Amino acid sequence: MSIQLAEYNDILDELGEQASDVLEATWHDAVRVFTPRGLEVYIQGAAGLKALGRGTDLVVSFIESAPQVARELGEQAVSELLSTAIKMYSKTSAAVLSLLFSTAPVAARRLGELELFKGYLGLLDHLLAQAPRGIRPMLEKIDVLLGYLTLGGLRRWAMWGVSAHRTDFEAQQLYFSLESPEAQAVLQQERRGVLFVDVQRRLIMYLRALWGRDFFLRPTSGDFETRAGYRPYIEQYFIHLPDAYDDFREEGAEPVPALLVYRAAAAHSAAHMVHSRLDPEAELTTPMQQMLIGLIEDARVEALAMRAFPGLRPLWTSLLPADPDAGEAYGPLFDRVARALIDADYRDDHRLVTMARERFGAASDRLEDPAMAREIGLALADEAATLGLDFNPRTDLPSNAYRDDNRHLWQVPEGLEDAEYLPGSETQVRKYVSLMEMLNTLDVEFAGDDAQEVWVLPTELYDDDGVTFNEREGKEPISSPIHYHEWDYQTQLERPLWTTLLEKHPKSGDVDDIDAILERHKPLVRRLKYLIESMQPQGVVRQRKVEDGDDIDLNAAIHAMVDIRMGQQPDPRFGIRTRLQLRDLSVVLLIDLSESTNDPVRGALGDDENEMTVLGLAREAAALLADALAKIGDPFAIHGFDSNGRHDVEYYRFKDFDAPYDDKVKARLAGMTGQLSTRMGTALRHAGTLLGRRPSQKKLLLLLTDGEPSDNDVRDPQYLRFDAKRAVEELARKGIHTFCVSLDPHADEYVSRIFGATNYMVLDHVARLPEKLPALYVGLTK
Amino acid sequence: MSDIIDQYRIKEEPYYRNVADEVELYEAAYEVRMPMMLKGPTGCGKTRFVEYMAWKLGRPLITVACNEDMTASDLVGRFLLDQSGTRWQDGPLAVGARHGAIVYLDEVVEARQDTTVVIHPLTDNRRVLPLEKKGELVHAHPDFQIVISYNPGYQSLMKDLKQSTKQRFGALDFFYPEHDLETEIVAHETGVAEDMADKLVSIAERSRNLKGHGLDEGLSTRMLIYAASLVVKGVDPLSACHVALISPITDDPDMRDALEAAVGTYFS
Repeated sequence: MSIQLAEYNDILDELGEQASDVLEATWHDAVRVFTPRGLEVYIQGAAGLKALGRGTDLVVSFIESAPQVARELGEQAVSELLSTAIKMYSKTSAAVLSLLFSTAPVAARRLGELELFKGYLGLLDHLLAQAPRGIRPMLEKIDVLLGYLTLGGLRRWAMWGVSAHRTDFEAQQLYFSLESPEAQAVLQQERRGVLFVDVQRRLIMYLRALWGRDFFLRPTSGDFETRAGYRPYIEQYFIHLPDAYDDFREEGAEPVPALLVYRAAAAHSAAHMVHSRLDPEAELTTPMQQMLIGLIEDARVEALAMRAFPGLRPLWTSLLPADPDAGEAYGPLFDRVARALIDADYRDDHRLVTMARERFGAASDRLEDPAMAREIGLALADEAATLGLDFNPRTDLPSNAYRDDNRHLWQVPEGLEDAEYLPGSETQVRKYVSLMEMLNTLDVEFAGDDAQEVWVLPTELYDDDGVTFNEREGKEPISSPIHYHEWDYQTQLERPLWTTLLEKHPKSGDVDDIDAILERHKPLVRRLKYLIESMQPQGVVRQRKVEDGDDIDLNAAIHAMVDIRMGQQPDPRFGIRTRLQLRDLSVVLLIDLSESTNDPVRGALGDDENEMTVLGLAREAAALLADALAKIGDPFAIHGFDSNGRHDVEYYRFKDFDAPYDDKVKARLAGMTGQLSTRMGTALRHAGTLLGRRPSQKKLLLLLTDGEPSDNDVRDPQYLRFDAKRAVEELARKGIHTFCVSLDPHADEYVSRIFGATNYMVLDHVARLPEKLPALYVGLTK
Repeated sequence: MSDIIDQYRIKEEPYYRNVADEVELYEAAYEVRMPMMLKGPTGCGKTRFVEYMAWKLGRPLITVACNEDMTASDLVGRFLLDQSGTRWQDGPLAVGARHGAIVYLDEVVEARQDTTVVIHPLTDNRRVLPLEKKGELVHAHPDFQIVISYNPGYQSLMKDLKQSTKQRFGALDFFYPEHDLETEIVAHETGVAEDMADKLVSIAERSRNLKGHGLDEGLSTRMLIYAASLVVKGVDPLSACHVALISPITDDPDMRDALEAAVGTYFS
């Protein structure tokens, strides 16, 4: 089934202009993560939210965050999210709902599993009924909260707040925004040792290092209702581990750090995956037999693993507590058997324990045989039956925390087709083909947006009526939306995935305009030529007349020897030094294309004797700089940006690093237009990301702007300034140097705060920008 | 010949406070002449450690501060002129290899990668240094050892050692010492009172919290020693901190303000 956004025209109309723009932009991304049915839910969900009549922000937030949630957890999560929102809508404001959507990707990422995400949504719904004022501050802090707490912890933390401040709304608000001391205290109390999400990558690497193959790890909620942890389990080739472990403490022994408990659990389950097989007669065994076979099987796979990795023995032994003096009950007895099978120094004279030890020891030469565990287990079960104790499979469990429940021995894994895989693994392929290949292979010229392959012809393909397929069908390729965080200076926190950046294709203008600019500035171009020549790298350079050269310069040496013979002081600078002179520098010129760049500049006259706009000057400057850079040979890019709220930061690439500076680029520069606002931080981060991929040693980001950061959805003028400052700092840490050329005469007040004391220039005489910019560049990079 | 190498000998015991087991580890590494790499932020005691070990092992120490313009001849040596013609002048690496010194290349990532490869034949079991221009192969003295240092902080994103260089070294990690130890070091080095040293160390810890939030590196132990030595000379603690700690580390007015305030909470 193929999916076309155009089929949903009626819904697009309904959504209104802003939302449908965002939807179009996100669509590209959405078709990759959703199945056709999921897309239907997605679109209808957006339309449904719009129909609630609670404003556009809500709809836009949903449209944006849903594909991200689906990518993390699968599309089922989106339906859950939607139905929760619809359940909540009558009870709360649109702002809270839009916050719910905006924070959903963060929660999805931290929780990492659909069941947990459902639990989270349930908790929110429950909380809304109990503490309606608390939900908004809590969602604002959700990133921090989930950084410390598991889902169970979050639930207990929230419930504490609800019961403590049931009627006091003000205190509720303080508690849930983490400002009251008791909120912090409960947070500390609920904080678990190590969260799964924080160590997942390490564990995967650890298992990969040990066994040389990949294992899939997933979290499971270990403590939703009670503090007692769930046991790990293996299902559908996934190892499920509890979402948090505390340090393991046993009386009279050193505590085992939580990370080691994770390692022990992961290594034990991985050993099962490598060595264990499904039990052939699973249905015929009693729970008692299953338990004992499982115990022996655990010991068997551990013994096999320890043969290869002896260091696992102390790790596992330290996590298997056993007390030889414990009474006659199955739980402690299982512990003692488990310990006796791994620890030769452990003394225990119980009948069952000694028998297990003897049998296991006798079979130690056929550890590879899975039937061995079954044999011994069945014999033990017969012996255990003579003890005359009652066995309850629910409560009589071994007490160690790291071993899984062995369900993979008894349950047949369902077919692979039924397992839910995360979407987004299929990517659209672009193929460049010849005309004949296209004609011979192609049956249908049309395809949906979710096409698996896009074929590109070097020339236009005409249909029978003389119209090209591109004209009829073609769409502008747009990038997937890219999300960036933003810095909130008031809470001193990052808002994760807060802004959305879209790369758009720049429009083309007339190439002649740019050539005319170069023509008009001919004297300047000539002057720049000398500057540029001095900058051009010359490859291997021989520096003569140096004191500490690599070699002796023969001419200078002869002079020096003559001087010595004549009894005069010789010139000591007779060496030659050869060095490779390379310019290893990449530059991005980032141009602010906001509405204000359309203002005319007094005193700057263009070709037609009209006053030039700021944008016109920026274009001239960019053209001259590009001309100079192309001559110097530094890899450079020219990009521009504007923004329309946090959902829509538009980014244009006029020239990329590897593209030649040709007529195409010139046409794009000529077609540059100014509109909307200036969300500087996001644009800086994106330019930095692109620049960060360059192999060059030095990286320079040159920002050309005519005002301070601002956007139509931010009222606090400080907010975007602080964010831009933060972005500049982040870039500096990545080794990217940022320099700002500001055309705002009042810029002195803020620009030094954002970019640092030496990294900016305020041009009062804007009309001279075209000549200043290339000269500035040369000065900066010499 | 022996006076060339004698000048590199360390006569007096340098003060070094053992933080963990680094001295024993280094001694063992020296036993087998394993090339060593010291990693850590600036001013945390890497150079002092090498000096101390050179003194303890009784070996001369040749230190080379690496920079971008350094070429292989600056390490290996070059021809010079004299009365009768040309004369070969050994570079620091050649001197060290001939006479059995510990050669310490400070901030080795600053040197270009094509320069650092000249140390390769000295760092594996060959232990030789070819002097190509002279046509000589120097077999390293049995006591010779090579030590490099670098700061894996912000610069490592742009500059890094080649894998082939990295894998020739054993590595010791250094960091600023624990609070009490650092206090002891500052007090010992400068003779400043214990409580003053304690305050300075606390200030440094505040600044290390700001690393990555506007500061590239926190205040180093070396800077604390500078500040403390000014205090010993009778300078007012506030001005000493300003001159030796805050002013050198940042130009950002907000950051200065924040650090000044942090200093102000300890001295008034």
